[in-house]
Order: sequence, then structure tokens, then C-alpha cells
Amino acid sequence: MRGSVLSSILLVCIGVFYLVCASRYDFGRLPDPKAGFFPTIAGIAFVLLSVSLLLVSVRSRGRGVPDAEREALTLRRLFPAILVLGGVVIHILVVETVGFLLASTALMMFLMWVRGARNWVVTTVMSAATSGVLYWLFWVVMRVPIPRGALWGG
Amino acid sequence: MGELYGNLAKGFAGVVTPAHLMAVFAGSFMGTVVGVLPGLGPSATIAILLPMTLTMGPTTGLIMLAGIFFGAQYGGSTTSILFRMPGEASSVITSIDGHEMAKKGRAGAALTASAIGSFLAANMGFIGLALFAVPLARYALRFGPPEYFALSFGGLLILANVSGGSRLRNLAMVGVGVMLGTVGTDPIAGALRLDFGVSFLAKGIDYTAVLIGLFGMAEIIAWAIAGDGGVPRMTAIRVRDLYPTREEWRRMVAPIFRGGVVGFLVGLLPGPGAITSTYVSYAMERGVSKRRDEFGRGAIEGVAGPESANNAAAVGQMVPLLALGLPFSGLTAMLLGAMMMQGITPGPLFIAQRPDVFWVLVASFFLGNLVLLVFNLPLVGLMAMVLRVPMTILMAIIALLCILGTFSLNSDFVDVWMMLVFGVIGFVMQQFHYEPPPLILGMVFGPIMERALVQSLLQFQGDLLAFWARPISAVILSAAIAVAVAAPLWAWRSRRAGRNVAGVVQG
Repeated sequence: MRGSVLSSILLVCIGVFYLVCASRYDFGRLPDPKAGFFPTIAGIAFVLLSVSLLLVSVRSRGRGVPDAEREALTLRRLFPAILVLGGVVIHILVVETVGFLLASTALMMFLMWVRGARNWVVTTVMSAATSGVLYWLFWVVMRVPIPRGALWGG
Repeated sequence: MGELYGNLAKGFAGVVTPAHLMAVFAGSFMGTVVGVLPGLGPSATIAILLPMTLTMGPTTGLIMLAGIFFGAQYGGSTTSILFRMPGEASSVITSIDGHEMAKKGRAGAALTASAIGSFLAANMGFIGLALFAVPLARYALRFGPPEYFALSFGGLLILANVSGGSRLRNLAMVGVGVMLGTVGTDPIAGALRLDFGVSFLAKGIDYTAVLIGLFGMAEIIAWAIAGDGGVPRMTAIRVRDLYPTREEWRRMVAPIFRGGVVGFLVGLLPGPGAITSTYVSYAMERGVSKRRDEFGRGAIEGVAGPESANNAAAVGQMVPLLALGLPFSGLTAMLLGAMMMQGITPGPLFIAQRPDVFWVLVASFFLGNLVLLVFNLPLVGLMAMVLRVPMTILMAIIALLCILGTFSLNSDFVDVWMMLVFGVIGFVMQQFHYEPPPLILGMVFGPIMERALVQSLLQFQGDLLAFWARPISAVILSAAIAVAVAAPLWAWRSRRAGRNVAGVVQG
């Protein structure tokens, strides 16, 4: 149950950080609360809560499913997720330049490739068709200003 | 009563326009498809499609979202019954007896019990909504900031006790949501706070982007790691298998009625009503049944009762949402967000000021439910064909929808970055068994609670005891605190009793 303790410690840290930030704003008084009033109360409550959670996690160590019996998240197992996230990041970075249609077709092909799809004809047709339908739905039907690509004068 | 019929007639007259009918059909269809899809729930779907509905006008957009809301309840049961793979948490109970029935060749009967039960119970709920929403709204006019504070604070406390998973963990997630809700602008004075000098944080964190990240993107990250090797393939369903026997019809009548009543009542309370109602209904059916030993081995009552309950609860949740403006679940929080984006503020004045929208919505619920029955009986086989599409393709499409849906919130890629960050956070939360719905509720309730608290303190000149001087807020706060204190004590006593029994057995 080390993960439980670790996550509780993380929550305590988040709570303390939030409380420090919140305490920089004017608290006011009970009859005249200011911008820092509610965040400070929320921060104190959260720190108390996360400390309780930490104590419970420490006390219940050894019970439940041991960490060793779970499949560990190694870098190798995480690699496909890193690729997926990388793909999405690149998509966001280039979509305004190359346009939604091209960037999305490429992203969808990449995502399918990451999970083992190797039939290029199917993945290309599928990706282009899906991107086209979404483009039509959002841009043509719903008039959402989807980036059409600076390269193509969009 | 005459007034009620008149209003309903006006509502039906209003809903029968080509645009509204299209929205009913499209929403119901999409909701059903999404319910069938494993992993992606109605919250994420509403979040993804929300921007699309903003271009439709308030009534049409809300009708479509309501269709998705109710449709997902129907679709979720299909995969529960066929594959023991609940599309939603509210379909978990259905999978117990539903899948056992499917293994015995009674999948059609179970699917019909689910569809008919959902249809009838939801209609019972609509009658309750039409009858009680207006009186409740009139009563709710007495609600001021102290009562709203009591309701939102009490709702969050109770929610942590009725949600699945650990109470402390759920409360912690509620806390994270409340803290995220304070980023941006102080709701009373308008002062900037917790924005760290970053311009996009000044307008606050959009909870729709957070929701798409926590549900949709987190699911994609999890899929990227786990793969789709374990996803079962769809098998064909014959039309003749869709119909229950006369004995099965007879056995499902009472559970549907009981499930409808229980579901509606549970739906009125704060918390995940649709999920809670299925547990309550299942326990009740097992308690009153003469065939108690059949439960867990394919009892049709175990499908008809809970499926009726979760649909009636979905309708029941609409009462506090429409009459009080308070979302008591993550899903209704999404609907509240949608309404507010459309310029509609549900609450005590909503029904009085916008009867045109309210009664058209109620009428569209009736009509949508009928459409759902049509989809879910003869087209059930076709609906489940979506599962034949490889997960590799489905997940890639969902990834694109997450990006596009988030971008179209404000046509700003900052939201997409935010969604991506919360996707990673959602995945980490999954690994540590933290539930995202309490976080979303905290984000939604937090600002409501803060505004009500500050307004109350200004009104009472800082006197905290004044919350107990007003009957409604006193009752709600006392009840919430009693539940919050009693539940852990009860759990501690049960654990202690369990240890004592174990000690006696070992001794």
C-alpha cells in the first residue's frame, strides 16, 4: 500500500502549497470576508483532510493488495502512453500551421500505429474519413473556427 | 391538474418542430451509442458535444443534451448484459443477473426488461417531475444564500458518504475540486486571485476541459498502456430472442414499479442517484422476492428493478437541477453548465420566468424516452455492432473528439493544453484509485458554496450561528453533519464487530 501513502503525501503537499498561496490574499473578517477568505478555509480543511488520509494510509499499510502483486508501471509499459501524449502535443503545436484535416489525419494514423495497426491503406482511409467527417461536423455544420492551416492560407 | 395538462400540451406543441425533433433523435441516438461504448461515459460525451450544442440555441441544445443524458442510461445496460462490461457505473448491478440471463440464452429477455423498465420508470419520473417541480420551485423561493450554502455544503458532505470508494479519498477529491474552483476571480468582489500572473488562469479553470481530460484523455492513456486485447467481440442477437416469456413479463411488472418509485426518490437527493438507486432497488427486490436464491444466477427482477431505478433517478435528478439550480451529480452538473452557457439559469425563478423552455424540455423528455425505446428494442443488435469496430479505431476517434471538443469551448488551444494536463492527472488518479466525479462536483459546487457563504456572512454580519436560526438551513446542515459523523462511526463499529467475530472464530 505504498502507493496509498505516496498519494496521500502528494495531497498534503498540494494542500500546503495551496494554503500558502491562498494566505497571500486578504482574508478580511467574518462580517466582511475578502478574496482570501474562502480559499484559506478550503486550504486548511484540505490540509487536515489529507493529513487524516495519510494517517489512515500509514495505519492500513500491509492490508489490501500488496504493491508487488500489481503489475508495476515501468517506463517500458508507459512508453505507448508517452507516444500517445507526444502525438497529441505535436498535433496541438502544428495544427494551426498545417490545418486540422492534415494534423488530425496524421494523429489518428499515429495513434492506431502505436496500438499495433499496420495496414496503411485501412489506417489512412479511416483517419482521413474520420477527420473529414469531424471537420464537416464542427466547421461546416457547427461553425466552430477550426484551424484550416496557415500553410494553406487558412 | 388542468393547468398541468395545459402546460404539457403547450410543451408538446413546442417540441414538435423539425429542429427540436431532430435534436431529440440525434441526442437519443448519440446517448445510446455512447452508453454502448465501453469507457466513455455520458459525462465525457456531454462535455465533448457541449460546444456543438451551443450553436443550436438554448432549447434545441438542451433537448439534445437531455437525449444524451437519458440515452446513455439505456445504452449502458446493453454491454452490461451481453458482455458483463458496464458502460456506466449505474449499470454495474444490471450486469450481475443480466449477464447470467444472457449466458442462459435469455439476453433478449434481459435487454427487453431493461428497455421496457427504463421506459416505464422514466415516464413515472416525468410525471413526478411535472407534478412536483413547480411546487418544489415555489417552496424553493424561500431559499436564500444560507439555504444554498447549507444545500451545497451538505450535498458535498453526503456525497462523500454515498459515492463508491473510500469516503476520505472522495472527500479529498471534492477538496481538490473546490480548490480548483477558487482559481481566477473572487465571485463577490471580482478580485483576481491564485492566477500566478498567468492570463488564462484569470478567467478560472474551465471544468469542461477538466472533465474531458479526467474522463476521456485519461481513458486513452490507460488504453495506450493496456491495449484492447481483452475486449470481447459482439455476437449476433436474433429478433425472436428479444421477447420475454409470459412468466418473465409477469415477474418484471412489480420490480419496474418499485424501481421507478425508489429511483425517483433517490434521484432527488444529493449524490450519484442513478448509481445509488440501482443498489437500493436490487437490495429491495432481493428482500421481497420469493425466488431469493435466483438472484445472482439470472433473476429478471435483478435486471428490471435496477434498470428502472437508474432511469427514474436520472429524471429525479432533474428536479433539484431545474427547481433549485443545484446539480446533485456530475452529470447534472454538466447539464447545469450547459444551461448557464446558453444563458439559462435554472433555479426557483426558472420555471416562472422561462415556462416556454421548461415545459418544452419536459415534453422532449417524454418524446426522447419513446425514441429510446424504439432504438433499444428492434435496433439493439445494430447498436451493439459499434463494439465490432476495433478499439484501436474507436480510441483514436475519441482522442480527436477530446481535442476538437475542448478546442471548441473557447476556440483556444490553452483549453486543449489544460485538458491534456488533466488527462495525465486523471490517469494518475486511476492508478491511485481516486474517483474523478467528486472532483468535478467540488469544482461545480465550490463557487456556489463560496458565493452563498460570503453573502450569508455579509447578511448575518459574521454570525455563524445564524445558519441554525433559519429552519431550512438548520435542518439541512444538522442532517449533513449527522450523516458525516455517523457514517464513519458506523463503519468503525462494523469493522470492530467483524474483528471481534473473527477473533471468536479463531479462538
